[in-house]
Amino acid sequence: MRRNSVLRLILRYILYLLVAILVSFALPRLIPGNPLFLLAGDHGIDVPSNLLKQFEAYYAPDLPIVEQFFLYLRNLAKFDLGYSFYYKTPVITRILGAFKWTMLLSVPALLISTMLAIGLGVRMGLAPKGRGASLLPPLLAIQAVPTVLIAALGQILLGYKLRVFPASGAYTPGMTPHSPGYALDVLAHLLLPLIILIIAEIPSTAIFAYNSTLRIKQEQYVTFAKYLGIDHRDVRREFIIKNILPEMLGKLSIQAIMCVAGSLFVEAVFSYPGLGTLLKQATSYRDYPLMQGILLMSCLYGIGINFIFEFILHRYTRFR
Amino acid sequence: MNELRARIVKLPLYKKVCLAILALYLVIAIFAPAIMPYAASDFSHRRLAPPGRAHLLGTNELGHDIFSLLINGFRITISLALVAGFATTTLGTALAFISVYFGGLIDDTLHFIANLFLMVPELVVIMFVAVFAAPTLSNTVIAIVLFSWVRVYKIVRAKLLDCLKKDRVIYTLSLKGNFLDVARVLAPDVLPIWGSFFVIQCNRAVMYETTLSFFGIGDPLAKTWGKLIKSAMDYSNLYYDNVFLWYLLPPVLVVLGFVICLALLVTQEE
Repeated sequence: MRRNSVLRLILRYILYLLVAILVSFALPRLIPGNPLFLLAGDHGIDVPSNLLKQFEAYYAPDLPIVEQFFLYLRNLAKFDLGYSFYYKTPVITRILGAFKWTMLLSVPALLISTMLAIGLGVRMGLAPKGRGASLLPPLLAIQAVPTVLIAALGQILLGYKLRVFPASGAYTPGMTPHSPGYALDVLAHLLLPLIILIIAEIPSTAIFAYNSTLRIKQEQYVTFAKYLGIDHRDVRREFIIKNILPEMLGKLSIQAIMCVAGSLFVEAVFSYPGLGTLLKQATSYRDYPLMQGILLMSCLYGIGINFIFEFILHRYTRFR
Repeated sequence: MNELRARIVKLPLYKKVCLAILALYLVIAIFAPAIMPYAASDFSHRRLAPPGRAHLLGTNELGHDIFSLLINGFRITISLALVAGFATTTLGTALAFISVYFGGLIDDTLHFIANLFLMVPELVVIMFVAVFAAPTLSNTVIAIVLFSWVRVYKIVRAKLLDCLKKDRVIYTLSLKGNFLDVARVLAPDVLPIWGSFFVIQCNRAVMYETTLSFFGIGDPLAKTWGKLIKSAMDYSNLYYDNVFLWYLLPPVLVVLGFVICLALLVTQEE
């Protein structure tokens, strides 16, 4: 019985995966005016003939569509995502090179923003006379603003005007991992984008934690704990936070995706060398293979993250 | 009309302020041609003039009057927000109706697609489609609409499934079972959600357009607020002589005012 439901979960995710690959294959071929095979140097990029050959070998526009799809699958199995027009290197090396910077930015942002947001949301929920609700409008206001604007404003104010932080890049140009002070330099460049990403990601988790807290607060065991005179800090930790954690786990899986998405936009503003900057370059040079690669990778990432969390939740309910 | 007035009077102060500001935005958008001192396409002015009597917000490096571009942006951006917001909300609601009414395989398929969409950052997909399509304003709107109906769909679907248990719905279903009749009976339950989502999706449309513009995607001739921000940020001497104060800051503040007022309008009351 149990094994069956695990199997169903896995099958469902394989289906998600297949559909995502199919969409990333079909989308550029479906959109009217599809420029994938109209390479005639229209956007100002010259494609050298040897690259053009590689490109044709990869996309094989002359083959029937079904065979193109199988070719695409075979290439994917070899982690071959084609060649970037702009960089003239394999897409996969570009993406992997940028991926580590995106992780350096988004993983700490995810952890810090989630912890701060849970703390804030729970406190708002427990504030006497519902006073915590007065913090909702500012949180909603931050949530409504496009992340690129928050990043741009932070860059102007703290990067260019007050010069508290370096305003762009991930390290001082010319430095290598072996230069003295490299780690500190990377940290200094990381701080401002990190702070901005944390600010952008806090509201939605905080509001979620606030709503969960309001619900748990009404449970009888919480009321009873108060009558027993248990210290309110212990009530908060043992009765509230521990009980909203399962719900927060579900939220975390959404947040893990939002954080990477947010990180793309922050990176693009700060020219931070992660996937966001890569995406910005891909869009401005109309580098279609690179864009397709980034789209596919973000689909795989999203599906992977969701699978992990659903699997954890599945195991968790088993032992309950 | 009186009922509407009574509901507005009951709103908390900050929502009344938001409503007033949004009304002002709408008035500016409607009367934009009368307010603009110069045509948006007119680039015959002295370049990079600082703010003065002739040019309230100065001119940009191409010789456009920035104030005129900004006012023109009200018209373009707000129409984009209204169209995309309306279409997204309606599409999501309609698909939810279809899903719940027909059930079975149709419901499963739509729900599967919705779940898949929720796993992928929607703005990345929108960006992808908008880059591949021809750069026109209507293609930007279509890309936004096609990939942001999912949240509306999920919430409306859940609400509809709840409503199906209500007596009057069961009654209609058992009597006639016609799609439109059921839709009419369910409408009063769905309309309030539709309203909130319309406002939220207008907010998102501006959010998405601004981000797309920042990535250089979309019709370069349709000067939305996002395009103005982008062209200011592309100007290399933005931070000398405080040029950013009249070049970059006005469109940024206008966007902030718009999205924040929309977001605060839909917050739930305690």
